[in-house]
Amino acid sequence: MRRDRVAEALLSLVAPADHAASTVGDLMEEADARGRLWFWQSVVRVALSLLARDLLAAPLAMVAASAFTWFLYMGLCLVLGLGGYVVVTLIWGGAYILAHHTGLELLVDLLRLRFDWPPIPAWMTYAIQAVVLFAIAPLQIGRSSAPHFRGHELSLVLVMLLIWSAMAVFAPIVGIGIAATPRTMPVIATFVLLGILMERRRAASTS
Amino acid sequence: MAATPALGEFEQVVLLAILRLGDDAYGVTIRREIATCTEREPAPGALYTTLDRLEEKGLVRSTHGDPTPARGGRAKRYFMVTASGVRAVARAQRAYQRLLKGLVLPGGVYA
Repeated sequence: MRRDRVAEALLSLVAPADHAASTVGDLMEEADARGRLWFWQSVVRVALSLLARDLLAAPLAMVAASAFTWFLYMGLCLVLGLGGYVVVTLIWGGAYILAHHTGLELLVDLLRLRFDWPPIPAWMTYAIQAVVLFAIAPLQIGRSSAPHFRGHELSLVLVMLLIWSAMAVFAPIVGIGIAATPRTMPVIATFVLLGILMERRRAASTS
Repeated sequence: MAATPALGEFEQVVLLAILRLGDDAYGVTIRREIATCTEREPAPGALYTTLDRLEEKGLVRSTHGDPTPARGGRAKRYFMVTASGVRAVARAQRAYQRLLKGLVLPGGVYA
């Protein structure tokens, strides 16, 4: 990816896409005389300035949106976690039954609606939880919030980092609430950002 | 008539630079004009946030020009001062003039 496209992608997280493009164009025009280091310094400084301004412009709205997405995240984790667990249990049990039963035993068990299979290994349960809590749910949060926060995405993720961490400390929900701790938030925030970028790419390809 | 918004020092500088540039006021030329006239180069971050703020206040208006190859196919964002912006900068400058009146400063006496 060319440097100007990376810079434009970064700035479009803190400004409307057309403003980000024209700003990068301005900086490219000047970078011919000033060099690559100046270009990147300027990109970062512009991004930080716009980010700070964005955060101060409507802090309460950002906090409210972050708190709302936290509840959305919790709901998603619950639904996807339970759904994932049921699906894996059925696959695990089905595989076990098919591997350990003859055709006749299977028919008898089916008629009695009674199957016995060993419990799912603990590592598999943890893997399902980890994938849902740290990847799928945050990706979905990013994708669903992206259209509502065009040009303000970085502010949202930053406020999310703070608010979700605070909510995890002050309002823990056993099992799910402990996922979004201050220690895990960087991972979750990264996936939220990835979800935002995925949604943006999808929107760009369809428009 | 709507109240004229108060202006910060840098906002006045940016508005005056845009007025001086006329139809050719975009990021690069505004920065150059400010650097030439004030002998201080504005930080890019400060300039773009100020331009956005001025636009939100309704003191400047921006339009996009045609994309140019020299800018990687990106359009210039041209700025022009609105009537409200002209009033705001004139009012701020008059306030400065009143404050200066009668003062003896290096470079001259302000009558």
